[in-house]
Amino acid sequence: MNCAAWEETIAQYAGGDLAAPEVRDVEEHLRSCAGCAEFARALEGDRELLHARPAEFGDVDFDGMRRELRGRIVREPQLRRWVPAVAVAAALLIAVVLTPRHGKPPAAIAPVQIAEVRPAIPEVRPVLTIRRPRPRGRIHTAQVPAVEMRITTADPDVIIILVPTTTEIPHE
Amino acid sequence: MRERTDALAPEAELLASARGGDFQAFEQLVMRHERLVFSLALRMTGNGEDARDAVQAVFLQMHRKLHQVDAGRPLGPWLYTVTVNICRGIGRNQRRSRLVPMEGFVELAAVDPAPGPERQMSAKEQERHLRAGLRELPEKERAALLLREVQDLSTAEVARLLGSSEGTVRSQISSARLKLRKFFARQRL
Repeated sequence: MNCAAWEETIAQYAGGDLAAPEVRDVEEHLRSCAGCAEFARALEGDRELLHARPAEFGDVDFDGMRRELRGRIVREPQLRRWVPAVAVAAALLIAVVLTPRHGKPPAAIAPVQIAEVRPAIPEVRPVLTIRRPRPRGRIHTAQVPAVEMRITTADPDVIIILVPTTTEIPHE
Repeated sequence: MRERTDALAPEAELLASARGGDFQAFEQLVMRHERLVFSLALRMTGNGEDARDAVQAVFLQMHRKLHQVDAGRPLGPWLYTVTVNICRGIGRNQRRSRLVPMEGFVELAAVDPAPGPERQMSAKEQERHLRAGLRELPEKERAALLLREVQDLSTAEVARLLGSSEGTVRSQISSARLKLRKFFARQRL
């Protein structure tokens, strides 16, 4: 078992990323700690694995990859030449589609004149007319006297009449 | 008379010829770097098919940008940066389309804890375990570790290529080493 506190330093040591004084400290520790020495050897093994050529290198057809690359490079300038041409053609097509069929521009729209319109709302001058005098004393809720309110307006044809309802309220 | 492209010509010379339209010079450059680019792409993406696509994309980009490549510097690091970026793009597309290749994840049988001569892991098995372990790493840590180990770049070079500080990259690399070790320990490798 290696020492957790030394792991990062040993990882840097294994990769050659430590300065000389730190290297001395690590090597001293490795001489006295079998677990960390084993850990350092394992890290060294991992490095060898990383340095090894990938196993399928022998199966890779580098000549074929280069041939394919050559083909793509040869095709690329042609594609690049075509891209602006296709863009111009597309722009022309859109322009043709959007142009009116008979080639005449659409007639100009006459300017619209909006007349000032003021709403004919009659001036409301409320006049309260109480037909019956308010009765004195205790009023039973079921016998509310009918009070009619009239609101006259400036327009003689418009009179607003408010008539209270006399709905009987049941006793508890 | 057109100058013959020498397979041993210095890289800067080949680059100059390729810029002048010499396709043979361009192919010489491809041949010099294709294995390392493929190796990096294979371990970044985790499968051969994506690695082949990445190699094509890397060299197509190199062809398009021949005039932007600094002839005063080695071509390798520039290509590795492009490779890492292209592989990250492939990874993003796979995550988006949920078509993550399972090659690295399947059939990872635990290794015999005490392998005798009759039970040695084949190179292909080891490679499969390695890729499975690499896929467990965060993308940035994987890229930093591979550039450092597979491409043999210094920590400072890796930091410059990835646009990070040296301290960040050092920490990413050691973190990647530890995660990989723990993965292998679980696999008893």
